[in-house]
Amino acid sequence: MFFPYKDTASRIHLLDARPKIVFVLAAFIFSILLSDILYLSALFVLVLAISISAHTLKSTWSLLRYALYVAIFVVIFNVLLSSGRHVLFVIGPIAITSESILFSISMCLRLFLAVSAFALLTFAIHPDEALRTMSRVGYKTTTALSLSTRMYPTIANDSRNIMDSMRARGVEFDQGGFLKKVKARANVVMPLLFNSLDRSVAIAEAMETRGFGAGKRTNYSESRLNRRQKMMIASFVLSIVFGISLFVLGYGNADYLNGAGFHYGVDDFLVLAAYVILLSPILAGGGK
Amino acid sequence: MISVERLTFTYSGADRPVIEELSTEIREGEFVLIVGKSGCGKSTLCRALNGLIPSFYGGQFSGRVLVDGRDTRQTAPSKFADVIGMVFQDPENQLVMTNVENEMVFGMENLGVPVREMKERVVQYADYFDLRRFFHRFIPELSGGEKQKVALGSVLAMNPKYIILDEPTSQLDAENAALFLEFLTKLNREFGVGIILVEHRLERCLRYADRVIVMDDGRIVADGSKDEVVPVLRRQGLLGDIIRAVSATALDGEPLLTARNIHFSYDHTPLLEGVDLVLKKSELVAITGANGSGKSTLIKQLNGLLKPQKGSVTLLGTEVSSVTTASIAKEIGYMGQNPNDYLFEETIEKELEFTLSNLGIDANEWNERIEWTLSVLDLSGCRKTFPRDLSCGQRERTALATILVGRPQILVLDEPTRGLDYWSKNKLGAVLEDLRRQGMTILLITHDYRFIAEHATRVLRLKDGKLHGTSIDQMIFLASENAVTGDV
Repeated sequence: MFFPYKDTASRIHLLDARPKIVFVLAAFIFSILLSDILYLSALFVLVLAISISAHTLKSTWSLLRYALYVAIFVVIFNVLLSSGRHVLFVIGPIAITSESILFSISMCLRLFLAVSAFALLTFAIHPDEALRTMSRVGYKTTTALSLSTRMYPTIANDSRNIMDSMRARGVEFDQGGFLKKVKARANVVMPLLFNSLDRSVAIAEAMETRGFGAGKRTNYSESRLNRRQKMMIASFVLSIVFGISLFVLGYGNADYLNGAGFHYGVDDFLVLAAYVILLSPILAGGGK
Repeated sequence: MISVERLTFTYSGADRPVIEELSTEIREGEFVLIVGKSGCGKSTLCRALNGLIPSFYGGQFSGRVLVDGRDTRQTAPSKFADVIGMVFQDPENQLVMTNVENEMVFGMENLGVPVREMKERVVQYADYFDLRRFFHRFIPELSGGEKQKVALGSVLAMNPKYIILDEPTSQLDAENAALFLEFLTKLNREFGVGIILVEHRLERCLRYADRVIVMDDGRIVADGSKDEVVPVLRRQGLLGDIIRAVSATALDGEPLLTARNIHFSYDHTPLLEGVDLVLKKSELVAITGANGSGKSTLIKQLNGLLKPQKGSVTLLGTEVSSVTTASIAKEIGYMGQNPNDYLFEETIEKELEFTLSNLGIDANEWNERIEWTLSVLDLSGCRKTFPRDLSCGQRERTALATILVGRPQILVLDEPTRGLDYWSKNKLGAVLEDLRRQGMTILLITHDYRFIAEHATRVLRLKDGKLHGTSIDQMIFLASENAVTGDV
């Protein structure tokens, strides 16, 4: 049965969820803040290295594949619609400029960084652990999130069963043109929605009878952070503070559409090294 | 003590109360069985006992329910969680976390149980329920019986005084259901936990109860020991002797469907290992077998919903794996376990028209076919009803109608008696018998020995990946062994 998270004895899996969540948060922030190709590439490679260490590269790739489709659109749109002075070549009425190409690459890298960080959250952090960690911030919201993870296989199963029942009523899902297939699949939406509504009422009832929201909770696996984990969290938080400060000073921010290119000084490499040094402790992972 | 005083409740939008002037008391340590036809108000009463009704459902509520002196209208249901636990019908809809250990502590965390005590209780109940070996397994990967055990263990870990169980065994096979019920009895005796059990399968559970409450139309019509209530149950049509409706003589004729040497594995785990099956005209063949033995997987091979990895299925001379399920839906109808998967239109009539249109049936025939189907299934009065407003038994028959309207030669049904009360089951049995007499071939999966004993012409057991012939007499024996008539 499909379930995204798989228990693995990798160093990354053995690490407490809290430093991992702070790391993912940092990677998300950087994917929004940074636009420089070199900075983004370095961080993307770092996240991929973590995926390799967590043995989740294959799963990460399955998500990146979807991001790749989006990336193709991003490139096409930017190349067609963005202007620039440095024309590389001309295809009919369209002039392809180096500005639009660099901007597209930067956008795609941002997307890849965000998706691979999200993959880390999905494949290398136990959903229940994630729930526990985040519950300190907003317990009800995070429970809803955890439930959606828990219910994913159930809903996927429901949708398979509904498709089977439709097939038995003569609906062809796999034959005919694209529009016919889309129309056939649209039939699944209503029963799936009705079933999911029934389920959500049943689950809400079950949670209520298990005392959800009754009062102050306790936390079963409340483990104290050890020194190493504390240092990791501190390092990642520092990287966020560092990243935001340096971003304000103009590091890692390249306006490719206005002619920014690959002009790096020693300071750039020092800043980049600082990023990597602050974020790479996660590779040490956790141990028994 | 739980005390119900002159309770009357009407769901919002309903025109009459589902429970009317009902009064009763349930004491600590009792094992109470609540029985009655579908729609008699059993589940509503259960939900009123811990305040889910009215706080969760709204509606009109009068009278009062007191749990250890606390009025359920003045306290949120979650605040009763330490006194009353609840286990529901579908384990899928009550497990919240992703692994067993976390599920067990979810309720305790909500109640603010100190960590040290939680750890002690987890060890105690995990050992008691033999859950340790599943501790880190993902809940979606557990079997139905295992999930229901986790649900019960998780509720019990909250140390409630009472546990309400709303048809907890309806999705379990006979063996798992018996184990589950014996377990409940043990909890009742060893821990003194009050058990309030709602069940349709009386033959499974009557023997365990100290007290039986029989409901009809929102009221209690009998309340006493099992010996006292049996005559009432018989009068109500909730209990009866096994009456075999068919003769099990062999039927001649060309086979309609032939499955040869079917093999099928899931994730490299072999499930079917050389299944042979021949279906002839006017047979009602029942397949039985333990939960997870591959029964559903097998019947999906017959109309091409799954393709055998080895072996072949031939339907009326056509190799099933070479065509789509939809293209043979006119010849072989299939109904899965959940009737709700078939219901989404505004009226039953539109549901049937959906099937007729997909099957390419001439529109001139529609009205005649719809009328025939609805009359066979006793649904003529509901033609314009929204299917999701129907009772459990009616939904089951409506889902069947969406298939039957195509007039297939073979009808394949996956656990059609699940969740049905005795009366609805008899009704379904009569419908199937009628269809069989008209020449339809029916293949069904069921855990219900009694249903097989009364209605099947042939019975097969799926075990170790193969089908084995079993005698109807064996089913009659198993059904009567469980039956209260022989037991009480």
